[in-house]
Amino acid sequence: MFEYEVLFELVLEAMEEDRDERELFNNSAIRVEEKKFDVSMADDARSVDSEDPILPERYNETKITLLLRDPQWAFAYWDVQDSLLTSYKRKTGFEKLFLRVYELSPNDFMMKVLDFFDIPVKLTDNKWYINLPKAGRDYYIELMVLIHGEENSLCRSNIITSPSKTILDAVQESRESSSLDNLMALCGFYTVGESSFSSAIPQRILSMLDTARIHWPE
Amino acid sequence: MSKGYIAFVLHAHLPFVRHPEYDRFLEEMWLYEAISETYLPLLRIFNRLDEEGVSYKLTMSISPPLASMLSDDLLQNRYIAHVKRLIGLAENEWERVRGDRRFAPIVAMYKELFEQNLKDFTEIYRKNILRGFKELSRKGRIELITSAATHSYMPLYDKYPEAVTAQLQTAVITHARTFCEEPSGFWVPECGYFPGLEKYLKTYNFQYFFTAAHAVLFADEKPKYGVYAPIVCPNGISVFGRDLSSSHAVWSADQGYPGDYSYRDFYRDIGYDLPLDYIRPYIHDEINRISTGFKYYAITGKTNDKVPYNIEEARKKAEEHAENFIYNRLKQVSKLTSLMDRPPIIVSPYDAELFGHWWFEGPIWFEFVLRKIGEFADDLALITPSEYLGLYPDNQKALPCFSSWGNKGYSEVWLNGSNDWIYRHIHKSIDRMVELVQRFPDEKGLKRRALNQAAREVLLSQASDWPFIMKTGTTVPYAVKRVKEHIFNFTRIYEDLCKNSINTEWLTTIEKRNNIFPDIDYSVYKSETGLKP
Repeated sequence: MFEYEVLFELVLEAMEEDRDERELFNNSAIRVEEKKFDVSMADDARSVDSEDPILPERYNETKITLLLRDPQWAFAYWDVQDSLLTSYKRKTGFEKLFLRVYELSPNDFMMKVLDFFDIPVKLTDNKWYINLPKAGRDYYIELMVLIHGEENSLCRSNIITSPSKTILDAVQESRESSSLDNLMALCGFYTVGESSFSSAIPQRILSMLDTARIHWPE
Repeated sequence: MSKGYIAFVLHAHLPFVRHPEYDRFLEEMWLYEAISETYLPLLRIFNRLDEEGVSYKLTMSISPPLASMLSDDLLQNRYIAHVKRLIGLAENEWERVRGDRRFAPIVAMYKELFEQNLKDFTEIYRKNILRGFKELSRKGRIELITSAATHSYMPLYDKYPEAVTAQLQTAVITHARTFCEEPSGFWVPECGYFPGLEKYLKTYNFQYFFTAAHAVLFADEKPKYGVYAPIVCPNGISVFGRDLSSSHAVWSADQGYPGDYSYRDFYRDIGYDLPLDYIRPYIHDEINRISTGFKYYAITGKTNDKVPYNIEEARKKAEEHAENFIYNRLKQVSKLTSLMDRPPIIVSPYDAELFGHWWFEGPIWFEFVLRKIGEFADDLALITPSEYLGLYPDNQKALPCFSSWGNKGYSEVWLNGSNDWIYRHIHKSIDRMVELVQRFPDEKGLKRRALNQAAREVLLSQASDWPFIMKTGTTVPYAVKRVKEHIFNFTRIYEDLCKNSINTEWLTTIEKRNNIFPDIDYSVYKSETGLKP
């Protein structure tokens, strides 16, 4: 058990180092993919000088959308119809606009709220990145106003689900059933033997987990 | 039957770039470079192996935008003009470096490359290289699959079923028209999977798709074979997860083969090195210095003092790396077979453009691998996902998790401060397109043309390439302009239809410019046909 624990810690340290290095050098597949679009190193090389078309800044509708970015972060963008916003701003006692983030049990049709938290936003804000406190949960947001101490919901977003599994979970689960070495091999953490040639060919002892961040349990 | 299998998957994709309004356009170079350095060299290799009777097989996805551009008459003719310019440059270079033993062989190599490219392009493929891939598919050498219509990053549209349906339906129709067959597999753009995508894929009869490794490893049921056997979604569609070992050896410029010091350096190009007066005719607009493809130096090391490229040395290195790759896969299979009760499949997907464009020696390496792997057929054999499913149809049921192969494993590349602004506009366009289909269910004539063009513009706005470029910072102004133009074009059509007043001249102009999917039917955005997860 002692050797297993030591090996486990060494593996996680190696993964953490690889992750840091990879974030430094950026994902290899993405770097290669960038090169498809690399035709000039000149900063001022432009294909066209014509102006970009002008898009509306907003669509004047009361709506909020929630997008999942990764297990820890979501992105929300919203808008409030001019007439509605004006009417609230005119009301005496208008205190603030804020986002309320609701946490639900996953796939709970009753949508029982487990927890919620608020994020104050300015009237001029229209987007926000939201840190998701827990994995494996459903989330949605409401855009709220506080008037005379009374909360009113302007609109509600769609529901997103944060992924529940992490590499740590997978590793810990497998401790019960198979050796770590075997698990690592099945994950692609293949222990590469010596090169068949005397000259050094760059290889790593442990390959990297594809780009997933290690999510440490709380 | 072999002890283990390896499935090479080449994903060929470029965004739709076509500017008939200019005589020459900088970003069209992406296509010309890929044709010259990747697609034609790979076709030569595949055909050579086929003619010599070397047994090989692989899987290749050709994205609909790429297929559209390769079939386009304007771009085909522009490619011919482009490669003729490069042949002219090669002839000038030959005169300039005559007698210089360091550079003359390299110039000769490029001259031969471009001359062969012109010959193959015009004489063998009659300007459409898709014919080459189609023939190889007919012979059973390549299993051709498809990807999303405009390569959209699907997880950011998971709440827009009509958008997902439109991407898939248009892709399937385009693939069938191009290759006269239905695709059995689907390359998920950027391996961007969201739970529920498999339901859409099943509707279009896909049998399998590919994901990042952690999509399988973190599936709702722990995969007993890791990524070395497919899992099956509850609806019966199979999932192949990427193998990290084989991918990393080839992808990584720092740790993998492409970074070897004897290989050609990507950045040292005569487009930047030589005097402007000399190079002017061969660079964009005769003003902006660009890569010409004539690169004369080896990577050498972490130094600016590069040594001249040695062709033979690089070739030997490619052979060595091919042998090393096979050696390590054999060891990998040996390890895996001790853990599995069936032969493992090592799924090795790569962007096709890695071979030849980024890693100049990549096609040579790949040819060595395909040639030499046959010596080990009892231990390691080439296979396609379809064939593996034919051998092993019963696989573990599990649902993959949300994931991508982008940096950090999820959606950050396509959703961050540099590009998050696009989504409110694209999502709005999708909603409006669905609304248009409901309001105009069965139009003819000018209105139908407008509606079809609206569908094209919405699809084009969703290309994952644009937010990708905004994040990675290569040609950001162009990427921004593209998104804005497509949203603008769509919005104008939407407003014109609402006012019942369409500007025919303007519509005709953008139809001719953004002419992807000529037979598109705007009802592809019909809400009733969209699956709701």
